[in-house]
Amino acid sequence: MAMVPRMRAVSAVVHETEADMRRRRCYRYRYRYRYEDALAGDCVIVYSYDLPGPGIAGGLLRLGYGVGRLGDALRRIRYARQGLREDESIPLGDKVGIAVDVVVGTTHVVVGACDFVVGACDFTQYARGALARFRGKSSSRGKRSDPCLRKRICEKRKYDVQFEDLPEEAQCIIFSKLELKEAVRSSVLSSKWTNMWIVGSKLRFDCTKLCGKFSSENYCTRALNFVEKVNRVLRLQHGKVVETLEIKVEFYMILAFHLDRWVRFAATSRTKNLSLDLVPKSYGTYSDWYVFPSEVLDGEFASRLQQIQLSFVSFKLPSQFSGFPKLKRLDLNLLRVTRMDLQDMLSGCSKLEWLSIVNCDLEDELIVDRPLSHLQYLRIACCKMTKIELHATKLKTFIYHAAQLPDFPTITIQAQEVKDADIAVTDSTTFEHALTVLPKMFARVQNLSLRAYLREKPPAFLENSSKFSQLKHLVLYHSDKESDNILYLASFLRAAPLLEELEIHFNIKGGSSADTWHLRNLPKCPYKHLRSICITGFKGDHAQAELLVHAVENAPALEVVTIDPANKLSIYSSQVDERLGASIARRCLEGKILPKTKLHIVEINRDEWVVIPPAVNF
Amino acid sequence: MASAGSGDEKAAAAAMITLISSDNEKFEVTEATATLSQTIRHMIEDGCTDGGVPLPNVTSKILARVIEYCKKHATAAAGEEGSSSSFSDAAFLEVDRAFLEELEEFDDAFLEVDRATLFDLILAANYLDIKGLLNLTCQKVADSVKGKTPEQIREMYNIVNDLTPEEEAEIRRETQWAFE
Repeated sequence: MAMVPRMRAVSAVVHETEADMRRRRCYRYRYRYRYEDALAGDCVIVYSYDLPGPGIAGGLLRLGYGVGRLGDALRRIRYARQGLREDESIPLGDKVGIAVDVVVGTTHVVVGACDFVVGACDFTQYARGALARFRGKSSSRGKRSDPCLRKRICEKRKYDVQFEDLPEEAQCIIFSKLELKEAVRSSVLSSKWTNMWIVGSKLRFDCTKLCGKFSSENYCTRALNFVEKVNRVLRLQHGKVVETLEIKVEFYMILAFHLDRWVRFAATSRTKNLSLDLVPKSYGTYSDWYVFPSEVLDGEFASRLQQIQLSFVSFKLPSQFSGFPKLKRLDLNLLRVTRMDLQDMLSGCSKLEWLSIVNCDLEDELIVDRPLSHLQYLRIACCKMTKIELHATKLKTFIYHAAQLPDFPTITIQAQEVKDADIAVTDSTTFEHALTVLPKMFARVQNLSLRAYLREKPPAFLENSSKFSQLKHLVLYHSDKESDNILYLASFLRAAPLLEELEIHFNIKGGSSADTWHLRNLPKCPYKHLRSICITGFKGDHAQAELLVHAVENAPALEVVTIDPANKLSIYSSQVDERLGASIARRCLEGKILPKTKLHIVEINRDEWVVIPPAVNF
Repeated sequence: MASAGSGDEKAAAAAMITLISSDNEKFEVTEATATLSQTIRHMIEDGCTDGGVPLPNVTSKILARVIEYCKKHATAAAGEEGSSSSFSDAAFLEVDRAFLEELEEFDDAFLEVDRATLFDLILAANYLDIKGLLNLTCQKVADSVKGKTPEQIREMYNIVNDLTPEEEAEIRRETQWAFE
């Protein structure tokens, strides 16, 4: 019967304790509870000496009442189980009674190792739930030796989960989804929250978000303001693992010193993902680029990195460079680097899966000898390079924006496995060339997007030898003054026998309306798999109408035709032209479209304009 | 008993997994649905799912919701897997797009729950190691905090401000920049 006096001791403590009944207190003090024989799990009643009990008179009354009931319960058990040992172990089945008694009576007593922390609020309801749970537990599972059961009892399970109770991983995810400012602001919520946001191991510093949009304010002041904020946060993170460090600020020479320190901070904080996005608004006029402190890559840091993003950075490999063995993602934009360094850098990334090189004017060749056998995504855009040679046999996605089509010998990549290709070229090229080079290079492409100035009637029109044998989805961007060329776009249909979806975005001037009675007929050629045609920028030009009619008439499986007269490639689009486009589309398809095919003509007067930004400036 | 079953029954049983909630309710789900949970996936790999998987940390109410989520997303996951290994036809892509939209709508509707349930879902997602669900629910919590004043957040999440006015002023001073 040592239990009851001890409960009395609790009562006495409670009597003296100045405390409130709020649950958070309960939570806070939970860890100070003394567990008696906690390892025995399912047969222990735990009570505490130092808990802040119900300090108000009513609470005390209840406690006293509880103690009385507890005594009864204990006695009942004693009688029922003569073999109960001196250590006051109580079998699980019996604990039901006690749990309820205790819960109703004293509010703060913890039952069953740390199974329940009973809140001060609404404990009768809780008791009911606890009772139900215990009943369910003991009636169905019975055997208390079940390890699962013991685990459950030991599990910290609270009546009403609070944010503070969420596992750290979850808190971490939540904080990482907040803007840094927002996360930091949470520190004033309560004492528990003061440092909670620091669990986040992702740090993203975006100057625009931290210091607001660029205003008339002196840029220097703004930069220093940013520095101060970053430093404040980093000080708090000192000695912690910072998995991700992202810095986005327009570079200004005054920042160089601080950026160096932040990069070193990343090196010592076991950072795996480092991002420096330093592109100033009008970088063309800048002569000073941020010089990456290469010496940090000498040691372990380089072998830990999994993602790197560098923008507006001048980069040199350290003398002792041994590669980025774990690097999966490398995003380079406006990188100043020598050919040798870039080659060595890429050769050292054997695990690389994602590579983007944009605006890096090497003015030289890029030849990576070592195979990038994990590379799946490759983007090369707006880079002045005389030759590119990569060995990436697993490449799935290839994005290439340049002056000319990717063609041997300028480009050597193993693109046989490429499923998605996005090609945009600024120099004009012939249909013939495009239809020779592309099917050969991307033999198994399924989704192809092509922006190019295509000209000249292909000589072997409609009888191309090379085909896109697996092409399912084709997107063409066409902006050309010579309207005749439009009809030749049909040669892409011919070259793709399995094509299912065709999308053409025109950027042409309107004004010349088609004579729908006199359309040229191209030789028939069934596009058996074509299910969907979508044309935007349909101005009702003669060749446009011819192409449309040709495609529709030769597609027996066509399900839907969408015509949008609005120009999606430019914000300038005249409403008159659009109305004309819509009416011509309707007129020329009259009687030619299958009854089962849905014709959808987008009418004007839409409030919303969707502009597809061209990746290459036409 | 799995050991007593014939070959056919065994095959059928292998595809179905029984999950047992903390209040002892049993849920039959397909293996594809169940393996969205890494925790369960490992259990299946270790071959210890005979006689059901007890999930002592998840109540039947929450488990039912979790299963609802997994069922919906298992289809999507199957599609993704299919696409990476044998990326085959554009018809699939089309369906995929529509399906993704539907999935988004489902997720939005799924998150229409009270705070307690949301937290319980987070706990369950964490315990069962269901990345998508954990991400989704955490996003919801993050979104609910965005743009709110501390007072609003305290009210929303039952947080009692136990800081003394001096302490609070001190923290505010330190974090002044975040309030600008």
